Amino acid sequence: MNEHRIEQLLRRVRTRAIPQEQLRGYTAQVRQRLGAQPSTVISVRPALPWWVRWLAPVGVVTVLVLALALRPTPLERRPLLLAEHPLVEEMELLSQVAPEEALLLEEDEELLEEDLLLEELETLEDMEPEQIG
Amino acid sequence: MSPDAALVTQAQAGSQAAYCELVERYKAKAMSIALGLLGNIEEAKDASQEAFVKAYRALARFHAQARFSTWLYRIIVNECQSVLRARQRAGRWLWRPTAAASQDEADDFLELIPSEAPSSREIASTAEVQHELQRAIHTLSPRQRAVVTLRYLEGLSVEDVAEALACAPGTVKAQLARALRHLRAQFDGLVEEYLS
Repeated sequence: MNEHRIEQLLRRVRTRAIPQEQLRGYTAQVRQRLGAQPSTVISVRPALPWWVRWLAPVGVVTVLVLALALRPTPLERRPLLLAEHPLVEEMELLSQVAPEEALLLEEDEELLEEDLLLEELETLEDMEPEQIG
Repeated sequence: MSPDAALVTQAQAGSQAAYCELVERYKAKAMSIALGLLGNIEEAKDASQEAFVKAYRALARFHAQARFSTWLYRIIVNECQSVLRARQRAGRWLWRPTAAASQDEADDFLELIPSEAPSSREIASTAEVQHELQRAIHTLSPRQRAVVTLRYLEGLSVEDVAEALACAPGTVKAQLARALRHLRAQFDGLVEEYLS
């Protein structure tokens, strides 16, 4: 059996006519349903001008594109900026210094800090009490 | 100008009476299509009436170049497919006549009669074929069911079915071919007996 036979069968049968009792009051029911709708169904709002309808999606897309383009770049995605950070530069410099020199540098720094404190104390000692306040 | 055009124009101008005249003209066809797709007379009545209401609301967007009938059929098919989707969500995808269903309800469901004067043999086998056809058509996808209902059970041309379903005639033919293949698998044997 092929599709043609099925087609033949389908053509030979038809949906039975809907019984009249099922259709009784049908239009009145539709009218009732229509009555529940706002009375201004037909007088629909005039359509927006074409350029407004065109601009709306274009505007939304533009805002999205701008928002994506201008969003803050995550730190890991800007290595150049990170490389310019003073701490990174300092670490790079330190990495190039031999460990012994690095220790010396640290000691120098400590000595420098001590010197500065001593200097400050000496200055304070030379000052009159009124000047300190 | 088509016979419906004047009524459509009046309805678009706000005449509910003119629209009700259109409802009167198409109510039987609307019910028939909905019944073919849904298989239940109460659901078919509700869906077809809802389709008429939706068509009334959308009447301002209807173009005079189109035919009111096919435009309305499209709205009916869409409404029925919404009902089928709701039914699917509710877990009742396949409508199956149950023993508990009344005889009247079973008769409502796509009752088929031969379109020409039947022989006694045809009458005897009609009930069996009806039952098989009901079952088989309702195993089709909603789209294929719509195509089969409009093309064979309602007798629309391929072009009219395409217009009603907003697709190309080629798509309708492809859907019909797939549906027929599916039905053949369901019908093997029985059709031979019926058509012999």
